Amino acid sequence: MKIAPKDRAVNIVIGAILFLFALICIYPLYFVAINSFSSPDEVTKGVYFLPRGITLENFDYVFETPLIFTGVIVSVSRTVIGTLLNVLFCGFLGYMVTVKDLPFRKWIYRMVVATMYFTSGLIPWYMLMVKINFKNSFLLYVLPGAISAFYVVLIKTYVESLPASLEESASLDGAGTLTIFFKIILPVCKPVLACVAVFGAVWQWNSWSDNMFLVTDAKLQTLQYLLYRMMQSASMSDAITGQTSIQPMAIRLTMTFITILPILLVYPFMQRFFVKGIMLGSVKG
Amino acid sequence: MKRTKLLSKTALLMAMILACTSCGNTPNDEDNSGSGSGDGKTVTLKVMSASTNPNGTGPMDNEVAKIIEQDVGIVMDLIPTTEQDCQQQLPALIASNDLPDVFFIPETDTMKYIDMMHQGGQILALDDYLEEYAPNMMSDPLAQASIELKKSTLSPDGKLYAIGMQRGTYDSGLQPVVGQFIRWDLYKELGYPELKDYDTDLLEVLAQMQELENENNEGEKVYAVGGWFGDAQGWGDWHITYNLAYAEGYTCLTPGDRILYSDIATNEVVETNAQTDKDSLFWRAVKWYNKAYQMGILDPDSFTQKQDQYEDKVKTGRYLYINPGWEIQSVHDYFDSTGQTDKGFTCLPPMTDDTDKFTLYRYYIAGQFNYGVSANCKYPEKAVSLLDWFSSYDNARICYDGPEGNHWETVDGVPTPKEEYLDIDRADPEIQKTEGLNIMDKLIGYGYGTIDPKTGTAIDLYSSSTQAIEKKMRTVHKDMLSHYGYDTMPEMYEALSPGGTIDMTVYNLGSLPEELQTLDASLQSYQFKNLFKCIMAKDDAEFEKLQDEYIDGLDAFKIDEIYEYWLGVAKQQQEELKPVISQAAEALGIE
Repeated sequence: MKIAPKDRAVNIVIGAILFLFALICIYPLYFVAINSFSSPDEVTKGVYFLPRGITLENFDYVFETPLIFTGVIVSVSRTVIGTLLNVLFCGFLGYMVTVKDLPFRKWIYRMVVATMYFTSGLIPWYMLMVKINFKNSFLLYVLPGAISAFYVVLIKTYVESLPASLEESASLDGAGTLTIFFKIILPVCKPVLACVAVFGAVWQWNSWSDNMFLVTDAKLQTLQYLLYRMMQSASMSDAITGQTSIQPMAIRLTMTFITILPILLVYPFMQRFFVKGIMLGSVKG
Repeated sequence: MKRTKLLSKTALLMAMILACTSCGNTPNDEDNSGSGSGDGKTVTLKVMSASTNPNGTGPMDNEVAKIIEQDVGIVMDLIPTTEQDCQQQLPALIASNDLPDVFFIPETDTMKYIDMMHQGGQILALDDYLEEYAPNMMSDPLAQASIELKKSTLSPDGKLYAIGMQRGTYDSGLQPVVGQFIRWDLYKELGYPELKDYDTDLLEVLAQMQELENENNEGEKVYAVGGWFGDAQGWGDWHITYNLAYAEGYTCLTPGDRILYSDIATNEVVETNAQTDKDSLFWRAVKWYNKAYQMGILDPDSFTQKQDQYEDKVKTGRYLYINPGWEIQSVHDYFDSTGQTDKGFTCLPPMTDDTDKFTLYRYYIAGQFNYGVSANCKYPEKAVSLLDWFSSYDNARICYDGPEGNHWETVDGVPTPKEEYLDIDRADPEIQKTEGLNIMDKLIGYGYGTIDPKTGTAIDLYSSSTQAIEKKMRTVHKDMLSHYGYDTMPEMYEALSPGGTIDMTVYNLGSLPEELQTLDASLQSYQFKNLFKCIMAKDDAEFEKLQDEYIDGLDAFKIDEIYEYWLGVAKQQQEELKPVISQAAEALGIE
């Protein structure tokens, strides 16, 4: 089919606008990347298009930070384990609150949803965590966040959109709750679970405040908190006495790059599930 | 069958919830008070220190820590924090009665936290331990002055609850923390025009400098003056609060509402309301920025940019006049990296028509960082010994520079840094990790530049010794010295500031009474909202109109009552603290 010149012009304009829009989205990431690989002095002067004075000096500095490798292990572990627990616990609870013969089903669901609107505040949260011995414990990173009301709502809505006959037929064949959940519900919930996994992983990877409040053990420091502190360590007094050799901007951008890289890698793989998962349940016919 | 399934579902759900809440440490893992035997043997103390150095986490095992262990039998298990983080952490720690053995108390609202802990019986009164366990503090007049100040200004019942660390000064005399820094190379190029006052001469010289250099090395626009007015209230107005006060030898006693100032030379309160007096430091600073705006030498971005954007411009040589002294190193680094080694900033001495003094040395008599000891600490005597260990001049030097022999040696009775020491990067994580240099800085009893009375040299040899200052001298410094005819920067500044160079302000005015607190908060936002309008006035007539409107508007916030309250408290403290100031001045050898 031949495209009319007028349509072609419109297409070009639309293409240009979309390209510009894509550029606006991508440029901040590109900016972070080129600055991370540029020499600290050049970063101070401003690097906008191509890396200048290409170097790994900034990464060297960041990776020389004490405990950094322990931090990576802790952060990766909390992300992997925390996300798995997130998916499993939210998935199971989300499914259970759809099971009509569960006693107090509606109340359980309402109590979970209520936590979206009312939070306990810092001090009660802190006291509770100390009380249940989560202080200086890895469990602090993965268990309190294992159930999130938002994910439960997301999963419940998705499970409700599935045909009831799926569960009924399995039940008729003698399958118990766990069998139905693991063998029937989980496989068909892949899109929404992938969506929860991405949300959960990003949240886990970026979290550091629980570390700041409750973890003093050097071996349990998360990468994010170490990097946060490293930025703060370029203090005013150090600058006055000329005792700091780092360029905070270069280090800040390098840290941002290191922080977003894993998430950038995860998104493309999960994207097809992600879009499907977040859209499902939004329209009911 | 159906009932069994139902039960199993409920049981599973319950098990899941239980799993969330039951797994954790065993209670014994988290005993927060000091552990160990304590009978002369080594004990471990948890110390929450105002330091974010990545090496300062967990049990310390570097060279400095080993000396501490050997001297006082303490292994420090460090918990790093900052002023801002601690303001969130401390209420949680207090609420759960979970304070570490030794802990930092934030600088903001210090008394509020001490009150909270005192009411809960969570903070230890240290008076009874000093005689036996704090020989260094008891024998040092500066530490004694600090203790007296803490008892009179940071105590609900006159007892000692906080020990102030980082007493003395950070300043070495090369330059002040805040001042009138100008591009000396351009000033020289202009033929050293006369600079007698801040309000006109300085602006005219800056305008001429901007004409001389209106682009940086990268071809970007250069302005003489800039600011970070786009930042939040309390920080965006930093220049207005501090630049002139420091430069003319005054201290703002109420930086929130900028109503009251004191004189560094006499330590007396300036009895005028700086908000309503058009000749006050506040209004002169506002007027100065307005004039700069009218002359086109104030970067127009100043009204929207934040501090980091301001810093980026400073670091690329886009301003010719800077107030924060801590920015100077970065711009000098930029000049060096671009081969412009002859360029540089120096701080102007006091302007003769305005004043005869300025703040070259800021002395923290009471100590800048407060530490308390938990009432739950099993070994309070060890906790006090630890704070006392840091309060010896010799130990302070060990913390900054390591033990004698490594990086420094005594030459003719004077601690002298080895030449190669001044070339190393003390921020190198590896050096910090193994040697422990400067990683416990906020716990050290004395600031970098404090002079050890025994040897007459600064505590931190790396940053503040004569050799270190000599190494930091640039062409511009040398030219400035030859222009004024002096040999060293401290000597020059002291000679050109006969009125005084040391700020020993110790006022702690606390909070306003409740009925005035809300009004003062509203007053501060009123000031922040309107002072920049005055700076942006197009001409003098508009400025005066806006200034009058501004001053008229202050009545709505009962400004006179607030002023009277502040003045009353300040005058009372002025009298009460006189003996302590004299004691500290005597200890420092200041007349």
